[in-house]
Amino acid sequence: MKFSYNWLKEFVSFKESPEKLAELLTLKSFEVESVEKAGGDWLLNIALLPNRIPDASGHMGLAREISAVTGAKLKNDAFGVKKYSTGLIRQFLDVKVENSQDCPRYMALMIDGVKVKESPAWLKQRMELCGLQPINNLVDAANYTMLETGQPLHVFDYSKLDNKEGQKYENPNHKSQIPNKSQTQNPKNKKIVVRKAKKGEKLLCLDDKEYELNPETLVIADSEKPVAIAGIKGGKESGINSETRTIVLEAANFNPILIRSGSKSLNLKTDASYRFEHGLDPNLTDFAIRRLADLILRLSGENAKGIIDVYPQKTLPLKLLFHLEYADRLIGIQIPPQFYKNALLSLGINLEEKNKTDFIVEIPTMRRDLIIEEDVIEEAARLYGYEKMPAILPGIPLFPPEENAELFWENKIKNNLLGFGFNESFIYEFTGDKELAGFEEPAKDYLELENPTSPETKYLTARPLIKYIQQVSENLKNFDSTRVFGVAKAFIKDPVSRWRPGLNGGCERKQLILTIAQKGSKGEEEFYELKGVIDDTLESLGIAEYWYKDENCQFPISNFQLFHPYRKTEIYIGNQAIGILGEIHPVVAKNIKSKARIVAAEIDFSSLWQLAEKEAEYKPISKYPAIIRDIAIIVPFNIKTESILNVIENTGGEFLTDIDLFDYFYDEKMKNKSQKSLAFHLRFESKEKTLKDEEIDEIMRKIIDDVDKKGWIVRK
Amino acid sequence: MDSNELQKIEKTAKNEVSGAKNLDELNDLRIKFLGRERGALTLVLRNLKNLPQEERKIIGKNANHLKILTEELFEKRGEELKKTEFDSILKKEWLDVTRPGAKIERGSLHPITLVRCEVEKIFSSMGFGVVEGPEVETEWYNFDALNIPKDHPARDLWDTFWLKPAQTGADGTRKVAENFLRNSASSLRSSALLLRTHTSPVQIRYMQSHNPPIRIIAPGRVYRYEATDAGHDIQFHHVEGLMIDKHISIANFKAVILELFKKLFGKEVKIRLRPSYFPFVEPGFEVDLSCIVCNAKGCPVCKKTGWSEIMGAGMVHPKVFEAVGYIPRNQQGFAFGIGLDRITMMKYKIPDIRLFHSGDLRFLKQF
Repeated sequence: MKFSYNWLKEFVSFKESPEKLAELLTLKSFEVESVEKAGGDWLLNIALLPNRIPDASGHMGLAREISAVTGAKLKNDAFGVKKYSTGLIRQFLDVKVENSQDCPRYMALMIDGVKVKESPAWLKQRMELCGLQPINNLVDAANYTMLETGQPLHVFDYSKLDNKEGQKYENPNHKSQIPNKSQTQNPKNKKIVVRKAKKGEKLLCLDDKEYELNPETLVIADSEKPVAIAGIKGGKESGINSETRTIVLEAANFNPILIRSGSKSLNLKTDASYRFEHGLDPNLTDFAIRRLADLILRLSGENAKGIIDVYPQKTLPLKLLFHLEYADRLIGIQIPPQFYKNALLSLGINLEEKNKTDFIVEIPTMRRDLIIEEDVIEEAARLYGYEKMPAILPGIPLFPPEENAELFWENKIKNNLLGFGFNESFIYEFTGDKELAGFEEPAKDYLELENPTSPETKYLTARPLIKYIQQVSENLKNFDSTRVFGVAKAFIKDPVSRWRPGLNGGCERKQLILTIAQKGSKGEEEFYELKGVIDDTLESLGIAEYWYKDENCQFPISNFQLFHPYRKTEIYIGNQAIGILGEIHPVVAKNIKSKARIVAAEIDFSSLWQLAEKEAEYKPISKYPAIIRDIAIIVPFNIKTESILNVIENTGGEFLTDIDLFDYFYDEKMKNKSQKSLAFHLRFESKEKTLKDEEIDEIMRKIIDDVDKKGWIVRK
Repeated sequence: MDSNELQKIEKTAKNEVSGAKNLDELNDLRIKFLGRERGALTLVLRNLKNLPQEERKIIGKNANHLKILTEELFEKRGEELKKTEFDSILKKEWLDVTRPGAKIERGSLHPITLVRCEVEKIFSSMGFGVVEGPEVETEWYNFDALNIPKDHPARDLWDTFWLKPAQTGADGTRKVAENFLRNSASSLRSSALLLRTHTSPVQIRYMQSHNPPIRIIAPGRVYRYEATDAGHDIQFHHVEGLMIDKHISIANFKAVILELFKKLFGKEVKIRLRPSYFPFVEPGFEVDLSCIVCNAKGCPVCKKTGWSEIMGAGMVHPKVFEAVGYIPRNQQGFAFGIGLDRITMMKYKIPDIRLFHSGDLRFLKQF
């Protein structure tokens, strides 16, 4: 909000330069964003805090704040206003407020014989400095007074108010309302009615736009039709023009929620609506309307016909208890009672000392932001100065923080992958129709946003995997090989279909995504490499019971469509599927123009970490030497390694402690014969004795026999 | 055979052995002088038996002496030659040490992960636990419970992504909201779904299930509906902090936060508190950090003010305590929210916030 330095000086006798003033206000009140020299004046751009709009959005209010932070005295003479009788106006105008909840106070003041002309130069200058466009002396006076007092004001042309069907709006529903002197009906009078708009009502406003009003919009109407949107914008027809002779000034207080929703539904924000939606002081209207009348009379010397004030329920100052001990405790140091007293008084807060430790404070009604004791403590604290408060480490009992196991495992995994040469990346959690189509993902499974910023943020992503694949594909433009991983949230619309029952603690799950891509590679090596990374990752979590399965999968078929149909497997821990490892389907890779095959894993971290086991235990090293034997077997190409391992393990017996595949080989010739060769190191070991060669020879013979029985060939 | 002959052998041996150019030559010489069959000295010793006793004694003694001497000569020269030959082998193994080292691909963690871990470590050392919460939140947790009622202009401070209401799942009946709310305590309160605009809802969830004293931080991803530029993105990261006990004060807040920044930036920093307004705290303040780029001297980063705005904070508002079911005035404490992206940008001098989610390895591999 814009303020004139010189104007402020008319209300308070401070000595600070514009820059010094800006610094003081920034540290003690609210941020002054800039100070600009403008002619002989300075413009202060102030980021007024939203709760200080009611009291400090006018120059007079800001002057009060300046007085409190600088200690300078207010110039009381500058705050004066004349008195206006309630006299003649009642012979011309009735004001009716249908619901005082919507409009706690409505004041009208009538002035006759005005001359519409250009405003004097001094007034125009100030308005322009504060960012308002001068129009004519009457409208400018209203705006000027708003800048001065913070109260939005409006001026109607009395002659434009309609009176055709004077009785029409005596609504029978409101007969119970307490009769108010100023609301006495006089059939000859024109009427101002504050009511909700009726369905289908429209209003052409001062901005030359026609607004369709809805029954939630509060309007100012005459006997016939709306003449202004209450607190937001005036109507064009009832506005001031060069012919205007008699005017009605309006200073009202409206329900902030109503103004806010009205302004939102009409998509119309104005200076007035901004101020009203922050909830102004109903007691401000009286001062403001008289201040405006004074100014208009001064500008073109007409005569006032009196004032109407509809204010059924007066807003009274709030009284609160202020405990000195509590204030000290919240701030953290002892501040002398005298300081509190002076600080509060300087802000216009009256107080009486209830006893030695407590004050009863009376909050001026303009300080709508001071509602509870803590609000008042803040007033004292900021005037005391946060910079003067010492930094004191809290003295509290020592106890170690509760450990977050999920984060512990997440960090452990991340550090592991760092060691494997993986780069961590973050993704945007949004996606759109175009991206989903590229991955052949069904958009109906994705949670939709009410208000996306663009078509690319239409949905929340249910599969972080596709975001990572997209990133990998982009990176392959700059790199020949990539190893990218990340932990991201999957927002799953229907957990039952994507995750088997029992897993659905909510729709939001953390997933661990791993990817490897290598230009020029056929993807086979990368598949086994990533599988090895997963093995090691699981082992580092103390998980031993992991295995891989390639048929009768637990995850729904739709989850596999992203993957190569013959290069995918489900990762299991015990009997629980926790993820998928596979090569991204070559068709998908082509769709997204990837320059290499991409192998990826999609792992449900939310289930994974709960299966992790922290207690690692040392396993004794056998005192007896181990015997290593090698065996190479030629098998038909489609035989799974697992089947061969099963045969060896079954026959190997208790001494066979480890089988290590060290060669997996086929050349063109073997491929043509649909053969491959696998070679294993077999490790035999006993905890109790030194194994004899003869014992192992015997076991090896049995293994070879069993391999033979399968029709496989043991290479000699 | 006489002593002259021995002298002659000695002389030749000395000359020839020390002149041997390599181990092969030396070996030939060994055969020439000490060879079992035809070595010069061997022959002398073999002929001793043909000499008269007197002469045999003297010559024998001298010849044996010469034999030892000659063996020593061979040994000495042998050592010399071995050394030279090894040296020449080593010489052939010369490496060009100016050639660049082999590239071993190292992995990297995201810069925000690095700073987040650092922040978590610092707070852990002060006894703060680390807590996470959902990113899709209800209106009640994100706003109402934090004293930001509906239709209050303060809501404009948080531009919010909303989820479409009552979306049905693939089975056609299940309301999505029910799934999200299954574990939350607010089934009937404002339950419109949104993407959390701060991690403050985590403090509400935590206070609902824990009693004071409380010391937690809540790091995590947050979302804002806004136009993106170098300084703004639609998703970024927050750390929310909460400390509640009987006497936790503003002075305590200053000390804890100073500790954080000193450790995080590894140097003496200053902080400045300015009055501000956040509905969930009272008093509320904005915290400025002395600019770490220019050490508060004034530079383009801090817009020549020497300060950069770094967090919002304050003393937890009684309405928030009320919302989580605490007895008013039984406890007090501070809460703060800090932008991780902003600190990370300061720490590594990263100019554009959008790099964080770009996935660009040219950026990520630098950390």
